[in-house]
Amino acid sequence: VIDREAENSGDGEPEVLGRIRGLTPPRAEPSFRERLKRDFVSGSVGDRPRGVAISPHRRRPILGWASGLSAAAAVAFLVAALNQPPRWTALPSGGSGNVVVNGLSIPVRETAELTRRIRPGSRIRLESTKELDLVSSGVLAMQLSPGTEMVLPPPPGRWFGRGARANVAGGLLRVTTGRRFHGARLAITTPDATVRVTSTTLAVIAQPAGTCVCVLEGTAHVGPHRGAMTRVRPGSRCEVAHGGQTPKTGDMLDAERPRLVDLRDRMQAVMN
Amino acid sequence: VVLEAVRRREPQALAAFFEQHFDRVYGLVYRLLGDRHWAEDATQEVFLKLHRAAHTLDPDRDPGAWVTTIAYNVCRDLWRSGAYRLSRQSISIDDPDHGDGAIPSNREDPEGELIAAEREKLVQDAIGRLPESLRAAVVLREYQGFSYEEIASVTGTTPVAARKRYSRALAELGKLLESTIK
Repeated sequence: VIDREAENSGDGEPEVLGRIRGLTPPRAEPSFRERLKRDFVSGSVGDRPRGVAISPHRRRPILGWASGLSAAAAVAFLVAALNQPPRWTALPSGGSGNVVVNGLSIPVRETAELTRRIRPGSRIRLESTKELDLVSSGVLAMQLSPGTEMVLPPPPGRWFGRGARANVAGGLLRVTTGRRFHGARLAITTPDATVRVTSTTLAVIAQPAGTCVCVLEGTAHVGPHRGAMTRVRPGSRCEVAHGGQTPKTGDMLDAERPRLVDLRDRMQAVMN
Repeated sequence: VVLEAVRRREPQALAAFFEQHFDRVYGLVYRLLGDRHWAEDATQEVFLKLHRAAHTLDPDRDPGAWVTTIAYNVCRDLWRSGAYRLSRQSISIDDPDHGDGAIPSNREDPEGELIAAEREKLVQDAIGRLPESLRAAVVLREYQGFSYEEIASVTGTTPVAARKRYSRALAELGKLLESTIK
């Protein structure tokens, strides 16, 4: 028994205490009491005739957690699925020859098979007489010239995973970005240089003597792998010599301008 | 001896155990939940848990604290359940079941009985409007006669915190009942 008066001294709520303590003790319905007693004594108290809604998530915590995790996983799966950019699609090419995808040779005219085979990270070598266009609808388009060998980048995600990296081992790669590329980043590496692309149309030419980048529109940053990056403006080119450290800039190559304009116009029509 | 028999779930011992603890359990859950139907459901849940856990009963200790802890935990689970929250939001002030469940005692003075019932309802409603931690402190102390140490043990807090909660509960009730006290 506790000495309430002593412990409550200083509470200063005598009226409140009077009201609280003045409540009549609650009495259960006699029928409820008798039934519960009978069930308790017989051991059938768990066979409730009434629908008791006592915290199912507490009584079955594993089920609660499992359903919560399932819901979270479903949401994460949905978000990840929605974040996926359109996959790479090979457009019909007028040339003849093959595309080697991860060592597997596929005729360049079989665009459906090509589309099925190419994935982000695939190593591609074009052994054909004409260019091959690859498109991730609305995001990015690339044109490989004959003889080009590269590792295909993942197209940037819609909301996250917006950085992508491609590698051009040799040859000529033309790139143009779509409307949904906005805010994403693409890095293209060659044996001699790194090219950072935001939104632009450009060509990356990787040759044994070095790398040349021609920018038709937008801006790119080009530099040797461990050197300072140079900003390359529209209509300009930047050359990084093999083993060289200082990039050289100048007007873009005349031969590239109409090719890049053609690529941009055709791909913008396809992508946007 | 009786508690040993309760551990073995012998019917006579269970009946005596029920008689000993029923009013205390029902009174506690009623004050904590503020509704006859929820109190009945919670009481049933408490005795279900007691029956299931009977073999764990320590025969050398007073089972009162054990029973109260189980009852409090059942109420706490209910507070967290969506069904209970929903029902509390939809309770009408005119709901006849929302009284305190007491059997009127003064049959010769219906008017006085009505006034007393209304006053009791106001107090119970005020208790029900307290935050759950404060409600538990005041109910355990005032209707179960618990010390702050015992309240702390049941609610999983410290005696100092239990005392503060009790004081805050009284202050809150003072505000809620201010007009009726005056």
